[in-house]
Amino acid sequence: MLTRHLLPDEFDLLLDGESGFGVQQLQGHLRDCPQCREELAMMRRFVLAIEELPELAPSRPMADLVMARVNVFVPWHVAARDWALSWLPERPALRIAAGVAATGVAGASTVALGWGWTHRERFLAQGWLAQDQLRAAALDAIGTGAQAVLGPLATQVPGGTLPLAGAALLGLGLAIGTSVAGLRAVAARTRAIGG
Amino acid sequence: MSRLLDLANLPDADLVARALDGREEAYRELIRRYERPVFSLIYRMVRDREQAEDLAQETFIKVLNNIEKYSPEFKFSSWILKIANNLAIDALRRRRLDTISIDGAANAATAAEVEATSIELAGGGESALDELANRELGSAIEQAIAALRPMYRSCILMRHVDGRSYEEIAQLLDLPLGTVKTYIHRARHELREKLERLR
Ligand SMILES: [Zn+2]
Repeated sequence: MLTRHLLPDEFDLLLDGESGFGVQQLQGHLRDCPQCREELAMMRRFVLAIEELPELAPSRPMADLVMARVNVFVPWHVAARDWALSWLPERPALRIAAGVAATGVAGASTVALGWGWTHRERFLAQGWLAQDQLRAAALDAIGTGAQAVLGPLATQVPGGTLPLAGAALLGLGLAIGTSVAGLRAVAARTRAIGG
Repeated sequence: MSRLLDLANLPDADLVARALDGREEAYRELIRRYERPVFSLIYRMVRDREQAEDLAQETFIKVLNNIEKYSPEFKFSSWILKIANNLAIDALRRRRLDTISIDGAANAATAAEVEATSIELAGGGESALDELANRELGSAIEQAIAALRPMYRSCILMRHVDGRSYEEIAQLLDLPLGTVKTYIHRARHELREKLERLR
């Protein structure tokens, strides 16, 4: 049993609705002491007055003002999903049809890929063959070009090196072209500085 | 329309997740949900409607442009109130510094003075603040709260207007729990004395 009035801290405990052994003792005192009861009641009244303070509103909704200065970042996976969804038709029947069509295409692609995988040896062989033919055709074209440029000289070039000579000629042409262009640029700049 | 209604029913964490997916309507719902509590807290701190509106906007811009930094173990509402409170306290400090430089008494500023209330630091008392604020925040209890030093004011508003626990307030204000309890205790008793005097 308390033989004194409640201390400010003890009023706080009661205001905050704390419970426990110590608090029971405080409540025991309150039952017998009208002075402390009155003090607590008064503190409860003004705490309630604070709790009932109205919520204040800004003069106009803030969303537009704020969003004008907020960067909304859409991650790539969301953008991709949205893009895919944008292709979906609105009507349910059409959606189902699109679903069936997509499943069909996916199924056919899977089968085609599977078949391709089991026959990959053949494709590879054909690929190499095609590459060889392509290379031979390219060398042939360069050789013909060189022959056209060199004319009778071409007969003096050993047979296998004719494409090589063609490539060298092409390189020489490019080098001369670049040098001429570079010299003209330097000349133009000098003129500009001089003027 | 139904989509907006759905958003209104979503918990904050789900709205944040949608905002992280780049959904603008989720951002807007977060603003709609918190514009009043944020504005109320700031307005009661700075007691100047125009400044409070600017600071509330700044709060949202700061929060929403950094939404990816939000950590879900905290309440979103605590995070946003923390930023709102920090901006309000900074504004009061700046106002304090402006007043000091006008008064030419910068050297006389002690830590306690910096902590003093906006009303006291405005020098001219309430007349220095806008008339609208006087009308809106003019009740005895509002005036008593306004006369508390800023940290007491933050604590008492968060405790009794926003209904936050002591632990939340401590986390929100980066203060030790014991300090928050002391501040609220002192704030209550100062309020009580001021209201007694007004009676
Ligand atoms: Zn008593």
